[in-house]
Amino acid sequence: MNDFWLPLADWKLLEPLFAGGRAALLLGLGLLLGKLASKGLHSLVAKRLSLHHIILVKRICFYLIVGMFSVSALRELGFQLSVLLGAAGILSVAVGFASQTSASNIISGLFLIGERPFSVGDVIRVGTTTGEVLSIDLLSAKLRTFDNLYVRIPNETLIKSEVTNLTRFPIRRLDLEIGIAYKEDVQRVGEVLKAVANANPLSLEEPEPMMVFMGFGDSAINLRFSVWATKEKFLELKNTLQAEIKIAFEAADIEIPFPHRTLYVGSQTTPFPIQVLAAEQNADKA
Amino acid sequence: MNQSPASTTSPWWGTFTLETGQLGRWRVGALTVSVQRQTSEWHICHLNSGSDSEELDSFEISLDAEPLAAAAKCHRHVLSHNSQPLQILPALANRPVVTRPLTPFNLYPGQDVVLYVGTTVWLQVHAYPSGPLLLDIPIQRPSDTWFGQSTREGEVCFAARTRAILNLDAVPFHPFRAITPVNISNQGEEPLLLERLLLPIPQLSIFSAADGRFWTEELSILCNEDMRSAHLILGKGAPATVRTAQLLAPPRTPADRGVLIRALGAIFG
Repeated sequence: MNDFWLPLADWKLLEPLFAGGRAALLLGLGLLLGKLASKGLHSLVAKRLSLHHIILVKRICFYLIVGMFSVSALRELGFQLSVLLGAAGILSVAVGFASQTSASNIISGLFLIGERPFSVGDVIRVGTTTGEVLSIDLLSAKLRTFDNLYVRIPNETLIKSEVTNLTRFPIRRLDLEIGIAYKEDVQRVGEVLKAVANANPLSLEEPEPMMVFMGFGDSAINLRFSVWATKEKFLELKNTLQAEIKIAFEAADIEIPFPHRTLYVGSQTTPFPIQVLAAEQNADKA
Repeated sequence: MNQSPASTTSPWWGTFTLETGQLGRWRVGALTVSVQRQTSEWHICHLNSGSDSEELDSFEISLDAEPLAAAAKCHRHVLSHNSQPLQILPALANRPVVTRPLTPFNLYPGQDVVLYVGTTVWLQVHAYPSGPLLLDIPIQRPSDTWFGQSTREGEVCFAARTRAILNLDAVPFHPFRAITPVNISNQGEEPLLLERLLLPIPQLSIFSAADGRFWTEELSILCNEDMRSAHLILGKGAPATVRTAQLLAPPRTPADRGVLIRALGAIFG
């Protein structure tokens, strides 16, 4: 019986078990401390920094603490850091070749953080996708579209393609394309449009609303009417103003034409012959 | 009761007692607000009939009224029942206001001028004196405007519906406008072109004069010699012309100091 217990009592056999336990404890402690520290930092810097920076600071703090504890845990397991770094160098070449896309996304993510074309909470348009930025992560940015879909856009795509930030500046211009009939007085139409804009409290007085004569269209004189609104009230203005313009045009007898086709056969020809069939049919019956 | 400029003995603001189930209605200019006290809740509706109303210069209070039309916007506020009276107060705009003189003018060096600017008043409903704010709404919604050097930098303000006027007698009476006297003094060496003016209305208090008009503290703007900056001095108490006016509400955002130094462009655009 005593012979059975002897090997277990040997300290050298138990050592790896204790080391593993210590490493696991360190890793767990690192995760816990990382979480606590990032939460503590949040409440500390919440009032001073933007949402984008708060998330960035929290992540750096978390990964730094977890990284430090992971290194300590590896040391407890008997790994030598210098050897590990050497191995990581060789490994990174292999991994780099295997995961070019991920590496490209990570580097693009760093550029995005540095360049800051948009922040968390901004509304951006990338290609045909428009949505609110939820987070900018290591590999991708996450958007919430206005129909409440979750869209993940790789950082590499964001760096390569055109990104429009719709909420960077406090005010936005709304351009309305309006067609009026050729018989209308353009100056009078301009006055009606300005009166409609002035009566709408969401349309900014300054910068002033502006009408631009865009050209002679196939069926209408094409005008552009530009009004400014705050970014929060942009959609509301778009809805209300267009409805008000229609009402004002109807009240002022200004025609918004639909596409016209006029058949003209030249001055040398006789007019198109018109035959009234109903009258002829009645005559036949009689 | 229907009030007009000639009869302003009982104002539209103040404390009003409503019993459970009783519905009170306040019409000030084009805005109508109804408040009904129910057991442990307030039912508040408001409706704006539009700025072209003929009754713009009058107000009307009825403490036994019918509910507003279905088009009115309504809110319910749940509060534990108490018998304290309802408080209705005027308040100034919650954003700075941009005003313009009828036509731009030059103010020459060494000259000073007093402009009178009328700005729209908000109507506030408090559940009881210094109790929770149940409604805070402009009596006549002013237009939004932008004040800044470019479309990138500046601030969103309200545009004053009336123009800045030089003569106090020419300022029309409205039961929903507060008058701010602005004293501008050009201490520089060049003429000052006055095209527009930004007023820090949220930093001012509102007063009620004996004739029923609302007033704010006087503002003094002293343009410095370098013509780059100006001293903006917020007066203390009611303006000198109506020294006995009663304080109704303090500023929405109290100013840290009475004297502010600002760039000329930040005041005159």
